[in-house]
Amino acid sequence: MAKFKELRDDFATDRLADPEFQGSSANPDRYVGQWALEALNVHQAHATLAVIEGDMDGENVKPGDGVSIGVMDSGVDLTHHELAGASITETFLQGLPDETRADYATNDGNSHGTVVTSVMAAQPNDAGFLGIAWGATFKVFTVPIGSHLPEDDMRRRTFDWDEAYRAVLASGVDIVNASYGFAGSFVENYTAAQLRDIDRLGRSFEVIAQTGVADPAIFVWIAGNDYGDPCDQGDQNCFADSTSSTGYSYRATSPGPEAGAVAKLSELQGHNVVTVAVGQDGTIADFSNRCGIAGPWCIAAPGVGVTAALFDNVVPSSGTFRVLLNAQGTSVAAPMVSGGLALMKHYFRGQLSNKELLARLFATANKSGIYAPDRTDGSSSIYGQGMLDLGAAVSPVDNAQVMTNSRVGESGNDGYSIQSTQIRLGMAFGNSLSRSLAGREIAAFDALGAPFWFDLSGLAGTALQPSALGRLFRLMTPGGNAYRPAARGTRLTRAPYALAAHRGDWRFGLYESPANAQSSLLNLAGNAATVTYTAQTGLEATAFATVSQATAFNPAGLPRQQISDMGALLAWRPADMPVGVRVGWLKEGNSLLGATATGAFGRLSANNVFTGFEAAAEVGGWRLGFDTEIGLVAPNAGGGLIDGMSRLTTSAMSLRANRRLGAHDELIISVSQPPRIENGAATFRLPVGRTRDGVILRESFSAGLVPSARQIDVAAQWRRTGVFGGEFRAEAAASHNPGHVAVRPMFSLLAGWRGEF
Amino acid sequence: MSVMLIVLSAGLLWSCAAPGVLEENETDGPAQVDVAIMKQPKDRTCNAGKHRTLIGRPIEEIDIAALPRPLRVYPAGSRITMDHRPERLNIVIGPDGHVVKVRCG
Repeated sequence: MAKFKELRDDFATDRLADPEFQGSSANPDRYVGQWALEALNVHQAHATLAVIEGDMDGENVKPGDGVSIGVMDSGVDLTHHELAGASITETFLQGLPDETRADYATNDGNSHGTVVTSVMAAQPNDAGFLGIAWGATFKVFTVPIGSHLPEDDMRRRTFDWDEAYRAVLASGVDIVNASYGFAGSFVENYTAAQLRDIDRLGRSFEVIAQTGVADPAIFVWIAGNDYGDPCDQGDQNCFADSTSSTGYSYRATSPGPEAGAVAKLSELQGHNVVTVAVGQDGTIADFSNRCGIAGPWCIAAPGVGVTAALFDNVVPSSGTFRVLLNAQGTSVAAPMVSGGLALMKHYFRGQLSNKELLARLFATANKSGIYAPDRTDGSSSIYGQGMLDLGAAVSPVDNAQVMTNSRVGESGNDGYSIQSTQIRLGMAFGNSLSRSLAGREIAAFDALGAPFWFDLSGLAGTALQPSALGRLFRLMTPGGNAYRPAARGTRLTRAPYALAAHRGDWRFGLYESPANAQSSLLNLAGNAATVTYTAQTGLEATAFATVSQATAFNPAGLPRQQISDMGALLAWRPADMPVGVRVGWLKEGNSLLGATATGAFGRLSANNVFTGFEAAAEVGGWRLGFDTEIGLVAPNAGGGLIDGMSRLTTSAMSLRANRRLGAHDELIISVSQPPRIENGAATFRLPVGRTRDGVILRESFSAGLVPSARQIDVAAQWRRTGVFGGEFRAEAAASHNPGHVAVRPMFSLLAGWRGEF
Repeated sequence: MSVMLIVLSAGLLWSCAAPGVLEENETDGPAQVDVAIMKQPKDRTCNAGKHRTLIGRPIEEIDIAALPRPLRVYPAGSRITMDHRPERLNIVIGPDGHVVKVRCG
């Protein structure tokens, strides 16, 4: 999670600092210069999309991709350069004219629909500005709200709005932007019945309610621009105002009747949202209606100084021209919300229902400071649910959890935090899992049930290599210069102890490795308590156990001590023969070939059996030792995302050559291969997403556990005794395919001095 | 040939729509890279008071061409765009075709 946030924030910061994305007064490009996008943290939301989709250049991710936005408006200029390349269609409902036709004279001379559409759809070309969800598909439907001549306005009288809403919804849009409304009337002055009677609004509401539709489209409305406008005594919400040209002005304390109907009609609630406009200082725009009684279904977005594209066909006399402008009005605040919802739908891959998207938009809005609730219904009388924050909308609410239940939102659905969900691999795995899991994702769900995807290979990556300090400790381990394995430990019996017909020694060790061969799986056991019996016949039997702290706690709150590893070794190494064999058993209580799992990956353990062969010889003053081991692992992966695991086989070998150089010096040359998995696979069953009705989707797949290469270490070691009363050791080593990965060789030089006092 | 349009006049929000407030400058820049720099109006009204004499008159008798721009004419109780343009004169027509309201916005 931290890695993801780091990436996202770095990307967003880089984007803001990139001169290509900085604007000037003449070229308010991208985010900088578009205060509204910055205020909404759109750069963060775009960066989040880019990171999630692995597009670190941010060139290929199209924000809003796959989402369809219906724009009910006056029309759109499809040839505006800011919209070139956008996916836009225009449908002229009920014979309405094309307001952007070159020969179409209007008395106002601009295309409101072009302004509104461009706030969402402006393309990332070299000049101009950036739309909030420019990768979405836009379906513009003309409705009679523009500034046509009076004869055109007659169309308003005959226009069938019910049919218009029906046509828009039939086109399959996910979101409908409605930047229009009734001026001078306010929802708080109407009963539900009266609302339905306004201009046949009741029939429109029936269509907009989408009763019976499983996932109704979201309608984004404007609150209105009436606040402070002059009014006439007797008008709704009209109060004396000496500064007004009429002596009165509106106190628009709630949205208009169509937009605000959501406050009175329950069938509209959940998929209708009203937008109020704020200025650059974050406070409500002086013209904007307030949320008022529609607060629970209302949100604030920038609506002043919003960069937009404009089509105008009356000025100058040369004909049409296309410009940019700083627009204001709740008209341009609404597409911020519509575009924001499209971003969210894209980000959550369409897996959240539209109602969930809207609820999330409300829940993640900025509710601090001036946006804090002041109404008993938990909303602000001015800002409703608060200020839109798209950065927060695409970030997890509380910790993202890897769920074990079948649905999101079920009681007892605790899951495991994604931060705690990890596999730390032992060396024998090499890069097997990171290779097998590359390109795969795991879905975790936040407190609101929204899915967030994480790179699976990042949670179960390449095996850790021994640190330089660890290798130095191994170099300086007492003894360790034997050219063939030998038992270690402290002798308990002073003299050969008679056991049945044999004579032998008892040895006992604490905090020491039970491994007596460099290439043995017993090296996994760590430091253990060991008991060894060695018979004079060369037969050697060892039993050992490792005690460690468990992750569980005892009733006193202290870490519980438990035996994590235990096992036994039976070896035959006759003193008068150059060969030996061994068989052994190692039970790993909390690991699998050294790999440990936490969180949703559950718990790993294993039973390992192995057999080894040893040989030694003296040739020309060199003492040669060879040791190889084959292991068979019965893994146990329980209680987590690993559904099963096949038996694994492992291999390891080492070849050593020792030569004494005088009384104090010894040279050791070795070639070895550390333990490596030769065969085996794990089956994962992972949450990969969810359906819109909350069922968690899971996917099973098999991941090979064999590394892609084989590590071979070559080392030359020099030891000198009698140096300051102790021993000096130095080693030069080269590791081919370190970590069983085909990468460049790794070289190391180690040196140390050891003394005994 | 392309055109660079620069609005020099203060007092207009969507001023590019109003005749006589634009100056054209021809440039050699790329086609259709037209930019208008807007300035916030100090006077946010459209002088609606001056036109209140229109109230009660049939719309057919009014010389629309003589009214200042920007201008919007619409029937009372109809849906309108919610771009906020205080400098725009709005003529609202009643069901009988007479002007019932004159406002800015």
